[in-house]
Amino acid sequence: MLLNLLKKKEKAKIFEIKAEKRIKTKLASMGLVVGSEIIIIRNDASGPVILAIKGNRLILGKGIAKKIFVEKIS
Amino acid sequence: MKNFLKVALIGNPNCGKTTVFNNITGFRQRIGNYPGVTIEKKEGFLSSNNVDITMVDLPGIYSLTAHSEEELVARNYILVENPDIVVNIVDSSNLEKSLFLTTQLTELDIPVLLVLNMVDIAKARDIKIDHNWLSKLLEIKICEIIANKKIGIKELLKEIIAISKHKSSVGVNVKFEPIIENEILKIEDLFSDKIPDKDKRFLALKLLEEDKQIQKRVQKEDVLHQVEKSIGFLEKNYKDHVEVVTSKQRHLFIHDICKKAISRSSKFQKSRSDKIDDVLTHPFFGILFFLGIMYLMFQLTFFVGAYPTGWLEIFFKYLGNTISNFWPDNSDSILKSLIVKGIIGGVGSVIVFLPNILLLFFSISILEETGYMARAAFILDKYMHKIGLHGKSFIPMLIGFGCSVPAIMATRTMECKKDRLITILALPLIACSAKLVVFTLIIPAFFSKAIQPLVLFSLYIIGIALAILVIKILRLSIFKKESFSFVMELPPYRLPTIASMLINMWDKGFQYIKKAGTLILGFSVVIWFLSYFPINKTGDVSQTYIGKIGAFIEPIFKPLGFDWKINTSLISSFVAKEVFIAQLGIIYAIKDPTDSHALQNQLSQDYSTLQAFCIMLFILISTPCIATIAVTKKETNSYKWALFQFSYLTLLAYFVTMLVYQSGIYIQRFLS
Repeated sequence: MLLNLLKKKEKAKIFEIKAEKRIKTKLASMGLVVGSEIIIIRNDASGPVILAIKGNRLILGKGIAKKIFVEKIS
Repeated sequence: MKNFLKVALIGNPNCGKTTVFNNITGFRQRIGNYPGVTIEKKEGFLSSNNVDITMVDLPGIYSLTAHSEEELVARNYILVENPDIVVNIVDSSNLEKSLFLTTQLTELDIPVLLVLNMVDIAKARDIKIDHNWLSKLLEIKICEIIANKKIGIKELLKEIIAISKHKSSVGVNVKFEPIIENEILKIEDLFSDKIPDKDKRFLALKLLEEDKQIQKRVQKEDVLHQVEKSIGFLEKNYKDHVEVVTSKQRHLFIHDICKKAISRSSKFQKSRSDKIDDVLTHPFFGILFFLGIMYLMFQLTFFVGAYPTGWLEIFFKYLGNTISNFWPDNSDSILKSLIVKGIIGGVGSVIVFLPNILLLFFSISILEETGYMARAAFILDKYMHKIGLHGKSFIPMLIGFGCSVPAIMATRTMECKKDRLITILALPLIACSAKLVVFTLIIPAFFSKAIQPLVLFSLYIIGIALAILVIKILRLSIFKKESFSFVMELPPYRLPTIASMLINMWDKGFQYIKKAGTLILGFSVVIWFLSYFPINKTGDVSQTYIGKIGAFIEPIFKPLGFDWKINTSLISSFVAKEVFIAQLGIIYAIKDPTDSHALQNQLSQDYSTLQAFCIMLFILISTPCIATIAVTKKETNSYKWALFQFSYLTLLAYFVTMLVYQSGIYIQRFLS
């Protein structure tokens, strides 16, 4: 599923990022790569998503969130 | 031993790097610009154990690639300026993320010192870091500090000097999968033996990652050929760009190190910041809180700021009068006029902005240092998105209602250069408080009490609507929107340190006076010259150069309903918008400048309501004061954008006002 569809407190693992190289490397430099585990802190109907990754908090615009494929972990 | 050291400070945004820099260097700082970019270059100076140290605070970055100006500036500094040591500051409570940059530094042939900052926070979160292990695995020296409590700074300086002396602590190379290592080796072998091994590896890796800057530096035919072959091979194998693959493997390498050297509970814990954010990033309560904060900030900047501004105005008036008294009454000495009107007036118009700028940056540094700025950007993003900008441009826009000068300086908090430029260009369309002064004088002279607020309101709305329009047009034309990439870190909340806020405030004020001040002063003198010469005894403005220019351009401004008096006052108002009123007062030879009724009576006799509205419209849209243009030049680091801002605003004002005036005339004729 896509990252932007995850709900608050849901945990997921990233399995694909479908974006241009520039964005992928930018995400990688902030710790977000294929295989990373994330937890959603906030995902409102509109506006960006806040997620936790290894003790860090990131804000991701919905535009990017829609390009990230994740697998939910229960 | 060398007794002069060049030290580069580097680290992620929010790692406390600037706090370290300020703690070590205090006010002994120099701020400039890196050539060709808008990024600040901060240098500090100190001496310790008979060694003179120049410390450079490089921009906060996550990676040493070449994807942003900040990254390039930081990397070029290290590669070209060859500092004696790179001091990498990291947030201990978030070590794994921070090591991404660290492992890129250890791949360079330069001593690196890893500084674990905020060890107290890490301890509180039960994160245990095994120094010896970490140091061994990364092959670099490590020290611990708590920057905001000034703990460990002395030891840090000692370590810096020791490492630079021995040229040790160069660091580990990340081991990639054999398939990549193999290709790196093939490229390395083609370089001349004169290049040190570590540099060879770095170059080979960067070439595989298709780093544009490094590609330009390597011209060797056989190398480039091999690189092309290797990239083709690797991309086919991994089905992704080499850089994306190496980034991922770098993370795995770091993850292995962290598993060995750090112990932390793997369970997800909701932090204190998360709990605060439940409220402050809430779609409803978050906005409410934000508006409250903005209200306080606006009050502090403009209403509290009005007192010192008032004192400064009184001071400059007093200074002018005192100096005038050196000459006999009614003296028409050129020198007296130059000093009092040209220079003191000019310096005064530079200084009166200072309280606002200082207070504004005081507020902004509180917002930034506490980490609230990132939250504000988050909650506003969805609204600003609709007009083609994002969260962070809201604050400058709001400050613009007070004054464009600090507003343009406030755009520094925006990372995206294009967004920042668009915001700067559109900002003057927001009606500032100086324009309000002109409106409040003209409106009562022409409009009945009942509709006065409506007229004022409509001017503000027109300004905002035009700003949105300009932003949209710039987005579609000059700054084509790339796929929207809003990614940002949400730092934990922290208490700001007074020292950092004061230094930040001082920096901004000083830079404003130094850079923008000279230009503003220069133009004030030019305007003084134009309104003083050629000398005529009667004080008739129409005989001066400025009056003649006003008359000369009359045909151009006739379609807008302006005559030479308005034109002349408009030209003078380039010094500051409120000068428009003063100049009209001089033209009408009004004795007491504080008597606004006399001027209002004159105006209502000479001009129609339509003309009055058009004058206000032109003042609203047309080029702002010289201070705004000077600050735009300074902040964009280019005359081109300052000139563009000046010209497009003037043209826009001209055509909009002409359209309104001509339609007005047509409707009047139609009705009568």
